[in-house]
Amino acid sequence: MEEDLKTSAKGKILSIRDLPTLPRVLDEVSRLVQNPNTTIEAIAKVISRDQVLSAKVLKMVNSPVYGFPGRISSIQHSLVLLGFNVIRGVIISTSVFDIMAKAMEGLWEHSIGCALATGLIARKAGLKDPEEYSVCGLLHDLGKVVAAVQLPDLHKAVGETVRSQDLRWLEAEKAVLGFGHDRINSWLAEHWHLPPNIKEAMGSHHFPERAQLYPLHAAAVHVGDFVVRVFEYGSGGDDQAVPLNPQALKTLNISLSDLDSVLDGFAEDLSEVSGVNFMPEDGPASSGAAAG
Amino acid sequence: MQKIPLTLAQPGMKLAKAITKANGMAIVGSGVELTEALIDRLDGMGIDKIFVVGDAVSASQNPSERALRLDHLFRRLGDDAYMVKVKAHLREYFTIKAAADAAVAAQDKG
Repeated sequence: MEEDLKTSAKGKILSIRDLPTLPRVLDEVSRLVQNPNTTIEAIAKVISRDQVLSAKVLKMVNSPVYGFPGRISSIQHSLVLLGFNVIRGVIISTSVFDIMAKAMEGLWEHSIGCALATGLIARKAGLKDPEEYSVCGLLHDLGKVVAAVQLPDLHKAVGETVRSQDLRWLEAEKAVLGFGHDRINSWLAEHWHLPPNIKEAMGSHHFPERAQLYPLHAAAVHVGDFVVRVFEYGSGGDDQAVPLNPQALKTLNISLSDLDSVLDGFAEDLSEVSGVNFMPEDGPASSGAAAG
Repeated sequence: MQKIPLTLAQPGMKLAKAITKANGMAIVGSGVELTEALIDRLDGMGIDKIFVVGDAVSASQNPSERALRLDHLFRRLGDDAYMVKVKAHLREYFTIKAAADAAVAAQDKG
C-alpha cells in the first residue's frame, strides 16, 4: 500500500516534463553535448537564441555566488569559465524561478543563499572547481518545488505538519509522503541526466555520509544548508537549524573555526546576492535592484 | 559593515570603507554620509558596490540579532552534544561580531 503511494507519487513527480517552464533549449543543448565534436560556440549559439534566458544566465553567473562579478559578458565566455554542467544547473534554476517563488515563499532566497555558502565552503576547503559546488547548493531543494507543483495537496499537508508538530520540512515529508525531497532530487537528477556529482549532492545533502562517489559535494552542500539556515536568509519551509554532521566537516578537512571566515564572507556578500532574482518587473538589462 | 550594490544605496547611509577607483585613487573617504548628489556622482563614475556602516539592508546580517535567534533555531537540538558545541561556537562568533560593530559605531559618534 505504502509502496503504491510512492510509485504513483514518483510517476506524478516525474511528469515534470509537462511543466512548460523547462526551456526546450535545455534538451537541444543536452543533445549537442553528447556529440564529442560539438564546439562551445555551437552550444553558446543555441542558448543565446533565447535572449531572456541568456540575460538570466548572465545575471546569475555575474553574481558573487560564482566569484566572477561583473566580468562575464557572453554566454560563450560563461561556458568557457564555468563549464557546461554549471550553466545547465543555472538554466534549470532560473527556469523554475517563477514556480519556485510561487510554490514556496523564501525557497529561492534559501537556494541562492545555499549556493553562496556552499561555494564559500568549497573555496575554504581548497576544492577544485568551486562553481560546481555552488550549483549543487542552488539545486539542493529542487525536489520541494517539484513536489509543490505536482502534488499540491500533499505539499500543503507537509506544511501543516511542520507547523502543528514543530518538525523540520524533511521530517514532515517523511511523515506525510513516506519519503523526502532528497529522494525526489535523485529521481529528478536521473531524469534530467544531471552529472553524477550534482546528482549525489542533491540526493545526499541531508545525509552526506551516504554519498559514495562524491562525498565532498554532498558534505559541502550539507554545511552550506546549515549556514544559510543559521542566517535565516529565505526559508526551506521551517525555521530550525539542521543537525550538522561532524563527519561532513572532517570530509572537507575543515574545522568549526574555519567556518568563521565562511560566515564572514556570507554576511558580506548576502545583500548583493539578494538582488539576484528574476521578477518580471525587473528587466533583463537592469542590474539587480531589489525591492525594499 | 555591509557591502551593498549602489542601486540599494540611500541618502543618510554612512560609508564604512573609502571608495577608490580601479587604480587605487580614493574618491570618497570612509565615514562620509551619502547624499542623493553623491550617489548620482558615484553612479556616473561607474562605481557599483560600496561598503556602508551597519546593516541597513538585511536583518539576516545583524550579528546581535543572529545571536539572539540561536536558541530558537536550535530548540530541538539540545540533546545533541555536538550541536550544543556548534551553537556555543556560533554564539561566540556573533557576539564578537556584534561587539566589533558596536565599537565602530561608537567611534563614528565620538
